[in-house]
Amino acid sequence: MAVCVAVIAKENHPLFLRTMSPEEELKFHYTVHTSLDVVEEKVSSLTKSSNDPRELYLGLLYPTEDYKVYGYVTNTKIKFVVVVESANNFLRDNEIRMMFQRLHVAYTDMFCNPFYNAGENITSRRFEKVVENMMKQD
Amino acid sequence: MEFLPTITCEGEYELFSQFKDEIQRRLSDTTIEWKRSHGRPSKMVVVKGQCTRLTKNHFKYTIDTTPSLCELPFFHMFWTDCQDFDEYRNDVKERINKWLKNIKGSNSDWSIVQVITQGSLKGNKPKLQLPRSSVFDKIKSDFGGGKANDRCIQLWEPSKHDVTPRSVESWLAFMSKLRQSILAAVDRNLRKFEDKVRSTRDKRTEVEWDFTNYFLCHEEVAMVYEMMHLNEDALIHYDEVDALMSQLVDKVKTSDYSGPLTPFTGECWCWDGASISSGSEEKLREKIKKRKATLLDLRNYLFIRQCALLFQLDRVKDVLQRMLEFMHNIVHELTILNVSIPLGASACWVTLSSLQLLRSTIQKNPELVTYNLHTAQIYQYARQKLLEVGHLCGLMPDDQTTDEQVNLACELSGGVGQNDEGLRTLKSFLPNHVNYDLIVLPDLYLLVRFSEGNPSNKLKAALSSKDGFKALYLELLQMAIKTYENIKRTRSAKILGIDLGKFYMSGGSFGDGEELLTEGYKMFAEEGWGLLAANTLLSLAQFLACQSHLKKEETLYFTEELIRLKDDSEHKDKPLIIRAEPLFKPEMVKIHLTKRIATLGEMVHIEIELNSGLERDVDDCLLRATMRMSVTPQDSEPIRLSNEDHTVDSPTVTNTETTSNDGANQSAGDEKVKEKFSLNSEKVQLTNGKQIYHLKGKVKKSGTYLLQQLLVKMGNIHLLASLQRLPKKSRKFVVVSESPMVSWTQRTLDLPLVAGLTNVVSLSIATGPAAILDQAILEMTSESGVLFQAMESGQAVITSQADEEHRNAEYRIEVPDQTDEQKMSPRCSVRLPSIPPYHKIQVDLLLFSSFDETNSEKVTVDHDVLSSASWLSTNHLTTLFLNFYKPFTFEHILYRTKYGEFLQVILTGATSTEILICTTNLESESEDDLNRAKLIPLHAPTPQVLYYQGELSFVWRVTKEFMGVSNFVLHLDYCSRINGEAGDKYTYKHSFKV
Repeated sequence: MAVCVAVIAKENHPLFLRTMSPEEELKFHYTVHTSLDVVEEKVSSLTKSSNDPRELYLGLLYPTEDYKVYGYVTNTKIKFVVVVESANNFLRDNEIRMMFQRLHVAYTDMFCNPFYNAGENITSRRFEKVVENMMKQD
Repeated sequence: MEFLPTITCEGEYELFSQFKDEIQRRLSDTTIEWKRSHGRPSKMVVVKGQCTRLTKNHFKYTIDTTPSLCELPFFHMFWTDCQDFDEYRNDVKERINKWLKNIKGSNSDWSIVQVITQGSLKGNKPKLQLPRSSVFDKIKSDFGGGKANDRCIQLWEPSKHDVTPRSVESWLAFMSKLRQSILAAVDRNLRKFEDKVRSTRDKRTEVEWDFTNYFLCHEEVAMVYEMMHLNEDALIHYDEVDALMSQLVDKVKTSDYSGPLTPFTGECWCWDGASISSGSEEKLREKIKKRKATLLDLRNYLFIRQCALLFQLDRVKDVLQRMLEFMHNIVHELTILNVSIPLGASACWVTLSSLQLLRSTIQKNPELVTYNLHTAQIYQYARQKLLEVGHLCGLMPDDQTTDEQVNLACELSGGVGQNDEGLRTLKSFLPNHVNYDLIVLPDLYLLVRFSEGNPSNKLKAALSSKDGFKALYLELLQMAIKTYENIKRTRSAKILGIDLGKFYMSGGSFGDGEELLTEGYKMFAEEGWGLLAANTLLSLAQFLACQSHLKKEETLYFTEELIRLKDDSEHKDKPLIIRAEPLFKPEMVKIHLTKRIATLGEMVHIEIELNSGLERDVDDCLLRATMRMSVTPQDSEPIRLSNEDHTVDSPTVTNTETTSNDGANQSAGDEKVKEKFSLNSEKVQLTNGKQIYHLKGKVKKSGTYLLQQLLVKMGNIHLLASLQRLPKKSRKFVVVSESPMVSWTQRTLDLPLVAGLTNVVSLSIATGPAAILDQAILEMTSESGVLFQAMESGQAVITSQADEEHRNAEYRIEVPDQTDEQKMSPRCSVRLPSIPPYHKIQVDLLLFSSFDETNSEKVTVDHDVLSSASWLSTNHLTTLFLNFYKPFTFEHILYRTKYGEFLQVILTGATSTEILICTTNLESESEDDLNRAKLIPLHAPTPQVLYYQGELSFVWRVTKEFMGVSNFVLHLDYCSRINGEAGDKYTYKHSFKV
């Protein structure tokens, strides 16, 4: 399903990045980092326009030949980025939304850990499991 | 290609052909309301037509069987200029009847046009004109039926429409009628044709189904809409075809059978990009019609049709948006359908399409393209694909091109430009409204310049040489960066900048590349993207093995490289200075000092924990930590230090960027700025991972120091790591040079010192915050006559300030110029044991002070002793005062009796020290022996003790006649007696006169 899932801190440094195949990690680092441009653009245009401010899903950030990059931003400006293969036509917008919601819930659970400090890299195994599931499903 | 409804003409064709063009032109002059069925809103449309002579071919198909609407007649006309009844009756009527019979089957509307001209009237002049009825009336009644008024039209003086109002009127009526009729025909036919297309589409699962057929039919529907200037609707139909095609491809993906698309999966030898021009449109359509089209042809055609319509609608933005998706799709489709196409051809196609399509859009609306996100993405995509081609064909600057690669490049080049029409099409496409002189924005200018030149030729040039490739690649990349910058997508721009930098570097232009890479690195570092930053660094310093994020093989490679460099003799004279981080990361630094205070000259030990990223262990490395005085010491005495430290080239990391270059230069000028000291390690082995290393060194100037930087010396490589990242507190220490307090102990002051005897004097040395190091020498000197005695080893007591702990330590007193006879000297050095800060030591000194009788009234002898701590940089002198009591006083009495003369000497003990008088020997001193008195002692020769205030009397009988005043010398041997034990013997000469 997803080939890469990333969580990015408010200050734009990566908190978590997992890819389906570890060899491609570098490539997706670039992909995800670039997507921050679009996230920023979308977030700033969101506040300006009268769009529903509660809408956290940002939709397709940008397509590449092989992948589609989707974004989601929480109210605390934590960004989630999910990369899916563009060949995967069966994936509808709604399913991507669901993925983000699951990710958000997992993130919230992880954040509730009193030993976790905001801005630290995410090492929670439960969170990782959720992400792995997202990458496995299909 | 344009669709035009066919209008046929019969009758006086010569007459008609005079007005053919006029009719075709006038048709599209005005719009007409199109009322549509099924309650769809009516639209104002334009109708056009194409007039031809009626032929048998026009009856070949009916609407149900026709493959194309072009084959069908939409409207029939019969033209006549007959105004003569006889002629009408005899000839024309017959012809019209025949004509009507012919066209009956075609299911199209018709009309009869009677043209009335002066000429035709003239010819019939002699005949009588019956006013009641005319030929026109006759026609009407013969053929009109119920719709006579609609079907029969009179055209007055058609060539004189600008003079006679009647002509104008008749023209208007005729054209209006014609438009109505054509529109009606179009409406009717279109409806049927759309139904047909729909039903054809529904049969697409059937084996025999032919895509091309369907495609051409459906396209015709779109064309009809386009003809009516309903571009929006036309686009919808093209999009439908597009969607169906994508759907078919999707099906292939799951079934592995290309089905109706099989004809397009054949070998493909032309990868010309999609190019919006009518010429290529026609060519491609022809190919499709002849069923010679490849997938690329079909897709190109479809897309450029869509683009053309979008341009008509002035939706340039949509063109850009669709472009990217289009190219992505096609690249995928080529693989899904397994089209046999050479490697790299699809990449060529993308590059070429991008260039060509962008060129078209730029010429449409340069401003929009300059500030469009999709433009940037297209450029980026194009350069990505070109890079692919570059790698395949060995066109990268650092590539060695092989024969196969050259062949491939030739092959790829061959597939380019087959459909090309060169600049001609470009010129025809240039919009009139763009005035290039008015373009003031430089970016815009660049874009427009870019759009010039033939893309096919550019690509061919790129394929043929490295220079050509470089030119095109840089052009694309720079345009992508520029456009991203224009739309403020800095990250995208910078990442591309890194690529650009790498490209420069691969071509050997390190200068150009470095800045770009540094920019990128800074961005990644600032935002905390370690992996990306590391990778950028990797490119930046090709030989630097980087962080743990990298793969093991990579780091291992760089480790080897580093080790190779380390022994490289090239750098023997001038070591290679590079930044250590992140290869070596100082993790922790610990200074082994109590309260972080060191005494001047003390060996400072520190521990540094270093995380080494080197995959191998490296022997014989040296670590050196340099530090800097951060506060100038209080004692501002200008003391020049011995300067081994200055010659050491220990560059400072002040600024991370400038580290590598100016390190060597800096060390020379350093002396003036600040004194620096360094701590060094032994030769160590650098092991992978975290390891603690010990460094030590002496600091020779007091002050507050901060450890600044770590130098790792590996052979000829000097790696510098800044320690400034570590907490300041852990790097800071103070070097103090406070001189100790030197004083006599209380005991010394209490006990009276006795001159003429060796006194044990206790000296107390109290340290402040500065410790005293082992073997430090305290110099004692006296100029007033105190003599110091050497001591081989003495036991000193060291106590803490609070008198909590006592311990003994050895010390020594050395006396210079020591000889056997002369064991004492006015100078001595006290070699002290090590004394921690805030401690006190007591050392005993052996002092001797002589005394004389010059000032017999005074009972004490005053001395001063200077002490100086030799380990201190400043020559700090302490003056100590001592009073010595004379051990005894003398009194002489001369008795003259009749029995003779007697001399009595009375010694009075002046101190509490008991003194044992061993021998007394009195001699008279006279110039001549004769005159010398002979002295016979009358007292006992045994030693006697002299107590304090006690008196000892010694009596001599002067045998010779005492001759007036005479000089006597008393030799006294004495020693101290302490607790009944006698000390060293001293001799004292006492001269006196009687």
